[in-house]
Amino acid sequence: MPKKRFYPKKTLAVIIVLLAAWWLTPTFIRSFTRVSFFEFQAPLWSVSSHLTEMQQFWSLRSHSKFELIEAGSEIARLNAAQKLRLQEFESQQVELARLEQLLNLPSYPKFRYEVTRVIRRDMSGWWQQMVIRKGKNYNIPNGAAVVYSGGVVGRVKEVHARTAVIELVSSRTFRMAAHFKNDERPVTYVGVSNLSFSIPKGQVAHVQVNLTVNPENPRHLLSSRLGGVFPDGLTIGWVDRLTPSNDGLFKTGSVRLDKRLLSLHEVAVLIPIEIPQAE
Amino acid sequence: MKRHNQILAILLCNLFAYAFVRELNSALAGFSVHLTIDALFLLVPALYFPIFDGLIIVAIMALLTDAWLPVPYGTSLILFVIAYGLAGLASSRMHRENNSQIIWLALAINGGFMLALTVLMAYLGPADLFYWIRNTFDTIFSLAVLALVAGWWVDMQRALLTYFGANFASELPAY
Repeated sequence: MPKKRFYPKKTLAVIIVLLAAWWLTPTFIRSFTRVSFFEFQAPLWSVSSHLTEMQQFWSLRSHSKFELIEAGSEIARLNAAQKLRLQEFESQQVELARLEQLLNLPSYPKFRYEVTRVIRRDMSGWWQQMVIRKGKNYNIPNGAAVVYSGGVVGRVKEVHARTAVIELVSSRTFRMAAHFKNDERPVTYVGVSNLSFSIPKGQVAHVQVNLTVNPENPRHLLSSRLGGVFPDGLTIGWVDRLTPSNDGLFKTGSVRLDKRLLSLHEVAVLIPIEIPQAE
Repeated sequence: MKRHNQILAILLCNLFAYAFVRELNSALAGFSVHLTIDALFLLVPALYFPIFDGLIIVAIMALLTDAWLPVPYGTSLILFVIAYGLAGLASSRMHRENNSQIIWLALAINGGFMLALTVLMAYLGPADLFYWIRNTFDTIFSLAVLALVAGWWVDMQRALLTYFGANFASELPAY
């Protein structure tokens, strides 16, 4: 190792040359470098996720047969209930199609659910995002909606070869069209910064002044199809207080999101199905 | 050959730390806490390597970190290179075997890095009071963790360099 390694002038020159070189680098080279470095490390996170699954598998194997029988019968009960709901849903879909045809209405966008595992969560004060284990290899489109059993998760922000990055609904830069339950008037949902050790929160804006909410009976905020990304009626969160906005024309309020959002293991990406147009 | 082995050893060591911190952050996500200890990646290159050798390690780590961040690509590279240059200059005026000085240097680098990113992200998106409170908490938490591990981390990497043929005894004191 040399005795003196950093000389002020030389160090300054090296820093300036390197920064100038980076600044002059064409955008396509930068993009290529970014993709290369991303794809280089992506398999590491996938392997880590597979290892976690294997660990869960072996821990589940240690459960007794009685526990498994009990869980099986519980699933069978749930299955029966879901089958009944599915029948009801199918009959409603038929009715909807009939009405659309009768009234000559454009049909609602249809989606295919691509269920995938979450391999990494990144919940900093700067950004809130997660990485899923499916990307271009499963035709995940950029900007697609992402949901889970509790409602809206976020939106696909970047798609890579075998992974995709999702911007969470609690992210500061996230916004979407929404409406309250039993009130079709559109409002705007915006993500806000969240404090540590607290449940994630958002903000609702452009709420009509005649709409009231009380903390004892919070109102359910749902997704709206107006944005063109999310289907209607998915849970975003609950609003328990509304205050007049600065201009006095609308109300704003804090949205309480589901705590499970911070520790999701599995989500579904909604991929729009292209409906062939009739000739 | 010895030089290449030393670069590779420190690079692999940093990659391991990088992967570990990412996994840790994924686990901490449930508590809305985020750990940033990127200063670890440039401590040993700045303290013990010649300028260009250390720069290779620092540039690779910066580009690797940048690939995941939703900021203009190259942000970490710029911050890391500036911090590397300043840390390298500071290293010639300090006792490199003195852990408390190493910890202070690590805290200064990490604090500067987090502050720069916080200001940049405030510029790129809406930043309310909660944004600043949250980032202040994350910074304090990260610096506390860094203060605990920085000395040990440099000791461990110094031992690794010695294993790969570095001879610190032949050096004159660097102060």
